[in-house]
Amino acid sequence: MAETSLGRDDVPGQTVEAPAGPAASGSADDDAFNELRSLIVGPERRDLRALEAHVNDAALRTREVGRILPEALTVRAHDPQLAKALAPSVEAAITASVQRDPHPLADALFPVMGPSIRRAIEHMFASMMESFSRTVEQSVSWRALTWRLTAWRTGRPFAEIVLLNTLEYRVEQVFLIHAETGLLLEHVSANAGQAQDGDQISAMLTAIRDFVHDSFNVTGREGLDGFRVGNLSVTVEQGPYATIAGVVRGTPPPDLRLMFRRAIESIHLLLGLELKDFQGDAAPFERARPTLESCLATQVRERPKTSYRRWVAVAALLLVALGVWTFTIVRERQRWSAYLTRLAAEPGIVVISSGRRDGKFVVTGLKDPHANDPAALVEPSRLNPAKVEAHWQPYEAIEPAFVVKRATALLRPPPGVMLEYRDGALRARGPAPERWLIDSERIAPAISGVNRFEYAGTSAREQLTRRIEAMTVLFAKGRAELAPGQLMAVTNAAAVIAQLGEALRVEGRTARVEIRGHTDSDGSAVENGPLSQARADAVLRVLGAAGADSITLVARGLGVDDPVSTGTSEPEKVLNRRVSLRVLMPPDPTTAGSRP
Amino acid sequence: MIQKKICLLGGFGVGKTSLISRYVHSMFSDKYLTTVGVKIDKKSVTIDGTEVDLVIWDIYGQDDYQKVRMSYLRGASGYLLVADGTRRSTLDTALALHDSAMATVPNASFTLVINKADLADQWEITDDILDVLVKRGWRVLKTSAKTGSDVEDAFASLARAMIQS
Repeated sequence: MAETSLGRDDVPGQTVEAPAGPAASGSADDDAFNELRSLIVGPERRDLRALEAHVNDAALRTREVGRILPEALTVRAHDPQLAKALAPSVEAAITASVQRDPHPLADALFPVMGPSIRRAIEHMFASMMESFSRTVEQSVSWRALTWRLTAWRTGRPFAEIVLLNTLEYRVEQVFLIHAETGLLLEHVSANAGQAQDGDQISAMLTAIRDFVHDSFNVTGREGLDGFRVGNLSVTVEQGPYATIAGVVRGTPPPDLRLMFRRAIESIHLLLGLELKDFQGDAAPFERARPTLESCLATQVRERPKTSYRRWVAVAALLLVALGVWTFTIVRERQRWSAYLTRLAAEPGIVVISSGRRDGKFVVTGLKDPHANDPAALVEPSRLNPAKVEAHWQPYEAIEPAFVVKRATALLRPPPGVMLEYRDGALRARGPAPERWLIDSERIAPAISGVNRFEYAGTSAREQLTRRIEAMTVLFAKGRAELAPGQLMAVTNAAAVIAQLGEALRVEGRTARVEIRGHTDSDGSAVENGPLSQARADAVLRVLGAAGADSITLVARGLGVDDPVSTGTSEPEKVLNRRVSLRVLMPPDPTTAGSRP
Repeated sequence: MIQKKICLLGGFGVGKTSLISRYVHSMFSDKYLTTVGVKIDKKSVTIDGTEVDLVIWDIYGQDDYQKVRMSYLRGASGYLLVADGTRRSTLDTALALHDSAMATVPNASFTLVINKADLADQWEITDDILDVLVKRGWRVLKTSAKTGSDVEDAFASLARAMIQS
């Protein structure tokens, strides 16, 4: 603009020389003028251009504002106007941030909110405990019972009796009274339903104050501070223009007066002018209500802390007792259940029923006499034996183990003999005497579960047979009489034959025992035949009726046949001069081939 | 709604208490009169559409007006001077009480009430005397506590005067 104005009319050109011709002189003038102009206003023009560029450069401006903005905000930090101006933007920013992602804000506030929330929870918990304790105390304590009795006797509500007994003090009503007129300015009451004429009461309080004032010649502004009737008192606190009077039930603490003092002072501060110019319109004193309401204090009698703790302790003990009782019950049931499981797994025991009766565990069932004693399982199960009642009926288990036990008890097998049972057969193994085998064979089928007795070895009959056939009775050369030393051998043979006879009798079988006479090879067959027969007959005579009914004894002379040795030496010949025994068994018609 | 404190002043037996007993709400018994020397009552009147709660201090009347506790008057916006029409002396007492009251509450409105209008034939207070007072600008009303005549008017006129003052 400066340039334009200079170019138009403010040209300081009066001193410039006039041009030579119209065209040439005009051009020369312009050049000179421009030069002059650039000399005079050149620097300013450059500055102006730079400024213009600066002003028009939005990015540059933004940077500059950004640079100075924090400083500017700091300078005006305490300006309420700034806070007011920023508030909508800050609110909008917070809202937008929360809408986008609430976490950053929550994280930022966490250190502040955490302790607050904790305090709130602690406070709530403390209140709950207090309330719980109070409830317990007011419902079950001796004191509560007497209160209930009083309530019932006097016909007053229980809550009122509790309040009367637990109340330290309670400001029930507060009057704000105009000092000069005694008119009621405002009135608050702790009981919303309390309908008393505050106007008249406040006037009467004033009258009483005046009465005291006059009657006792009180000077100045001194006056009635309060009075007390029984449990009720009126505390009066006077200000220059208004008086506050609180109706207190119970024993007010000294600092209550201080509270009233502060209240009346704050009301004078707030409504001083209205009080001074009071003409009967109490409406402005509505504003004093919050202050008056803050005076409606209640203090419940501080109960000793131990009481609270005592109840908590009692509750805790009860809980612990309940827990222990429950634990004991559950553990006992678990043990009982484990005991029953053990019983069920025990061979020879069958549980039929189980349950509880008269505080005892009861079990009934069947028990094999050879089964383990169920009572012995009670203690390992860690049950109290006195609390377990069992009723067992005897029965015979047919499990192999029990059949074996029964057989063992009855047959009493000799050492080294093992009994086993399978598929109805009782089987014995190991070296067993013939006598025992004979007895067992007879008795075993009488045992419950046993159909037959088997012996996994040489049977008694076979053993006896082998022993009999191994016997030899030697004779002197050419002689048929028993030598004195041989009589014993024959007597022994008689006993063994008698045993065989017994074994056969048990089996219901018979046999024939051949008494065979032999000679050596000397002499002729004519002589040797009768000699061998004579030797056999000699032995037969000694054996007599050995073997009784089941064995038939037969004497046979075999001459030189069937020698022990075919040698011709004298010691060999001695062995051939003998009588041997041979047991001949007819085949068993029933069990032939079935026995090993 | 506004409140005003008024007082009832008068000699012994002029019927102050009777005057108001039928028209006011009271939560206190009359024994306060003889003990504390004052009894508080309350009455609501409507003056030109404005409800006015009158807190009435019924001050115990004694013929020896010097014994009347004038401190009870403090803060009163008005008072009723009550005299017994059948006893001239009660008017003198009332006038004396008025003088005392003026010293305590100089700006208060007041109305002179001559009670026992139902016994007009026995009156000692003549209209001539009352005319003098009326001419002084006094409001004077004749009432009967027995019949209720003009009792309401007495309170209403005092209330009106207090509001307008």
